[in-house]
Amino acid sequence: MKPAPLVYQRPSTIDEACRLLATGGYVKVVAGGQSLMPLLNFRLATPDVLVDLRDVAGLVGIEVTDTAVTVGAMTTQRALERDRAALEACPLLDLALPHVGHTTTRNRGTVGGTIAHADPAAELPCVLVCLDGEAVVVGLDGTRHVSAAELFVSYLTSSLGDDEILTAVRFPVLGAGWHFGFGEVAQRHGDYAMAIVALAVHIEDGDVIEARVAAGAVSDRPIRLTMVEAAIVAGVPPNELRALAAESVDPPDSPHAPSAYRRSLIGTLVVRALAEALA
Amino acid sequence: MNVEFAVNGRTYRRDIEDRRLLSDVLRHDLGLRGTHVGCEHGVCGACTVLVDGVASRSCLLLAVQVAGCEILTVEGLADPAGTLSPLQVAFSTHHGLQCGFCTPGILATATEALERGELTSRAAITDLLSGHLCRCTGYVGIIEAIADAAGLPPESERAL
Repeated sequence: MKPAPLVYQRPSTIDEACRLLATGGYVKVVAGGQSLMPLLNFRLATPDVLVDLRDVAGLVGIEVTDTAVTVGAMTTQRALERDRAALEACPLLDLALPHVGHTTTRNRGTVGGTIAHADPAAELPCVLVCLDGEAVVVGLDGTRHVSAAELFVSYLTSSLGDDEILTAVRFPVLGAGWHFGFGEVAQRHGDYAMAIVALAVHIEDGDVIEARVAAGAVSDRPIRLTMVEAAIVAGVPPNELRALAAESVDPPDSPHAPSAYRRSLIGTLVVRALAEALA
Repeated sequence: MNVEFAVNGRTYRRDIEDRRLLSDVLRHDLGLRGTHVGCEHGVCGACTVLVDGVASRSCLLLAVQVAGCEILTVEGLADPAGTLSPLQVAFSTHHGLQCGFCTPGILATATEALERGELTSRAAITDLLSGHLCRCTGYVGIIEAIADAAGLPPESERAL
């Protein structure tokens, strides 16, 4: 229940941080530490070197434009939760953030950390996939932008290279006519989710002309439910939509939630999230 | 690693092994055993302290990470003469604790939320308490204590 021996490094520039990552060996980046530190305490992760980004300049801040809410990787989830302009521009964040851990873990947990951690049962990766957002990634070879679809690879695995660090997350602002819904079921508030749904619908003259639906905690990464999206645009009634959504995922069994139960949760959450968006 | 940080207004300089948790340094090195350690993975909330005024799990921080920070633990909530803070008095008045294991962490979290003026309803208090496990009280006394400290009307008046 204590971390294994490690060397703690606190670089002051992103280049220095990337170089530490590129030295080889088992090097981990720590941002807020709210997911990583439990893994260290349990010794499920035993890095030789821990690279703390807190002294690296330029990684904290929230920028809101007409097209995106861009959040510096080291910005805490709590800071984003308190930024009214960001939440108004991107209402899905407003709906999802209260589900992220607890107030006290959001105090230290960062937006970049939860995205880079790539936990399929985490809320913000699901939001990023729903919105078709992207991550800004810096490595020794320069900066690149990685779309949400290409970022999440598998359980706790992103497509970041060994020397790369996620420096910002870009949540698109969808604009007028878009409405949002979000739902999650966990055994207790703040526990790992058993099912998550993030939903956005574009309404014109009373009709849904475009829908985006992402599901979390039911695969090895957050996934888009394209058949469900098409069904929503086609105006499929709620009972059929519920069944279709349930059949569109294939989650593994877990001790407290067999696969069939989690499938049914996705069906229910899609119908509820759509009702929330249309209300 | 050599680090310097302040706890309850007193400055400490220590050579601390990089992997040591803040919770362990507070308890074992500094003798501040009011900070309790329950789960050591961020779920129970018992070890919560204030780091530069922000409620934080001390089991999820390495002590070397708080170099240059000001820590406030439960030992620092009362004034130097021993007079309890209004929140602590409210916990006593409303029987907000039994065994007291979870209390220091809840006091830290609630102290920050009170200072920020975020506790405008009982719903806000229960949401705040989702990050703290109490196995004795059923939370009723805890909620009443924090509601009292936040200036919310008592539950009985609210029901009338």
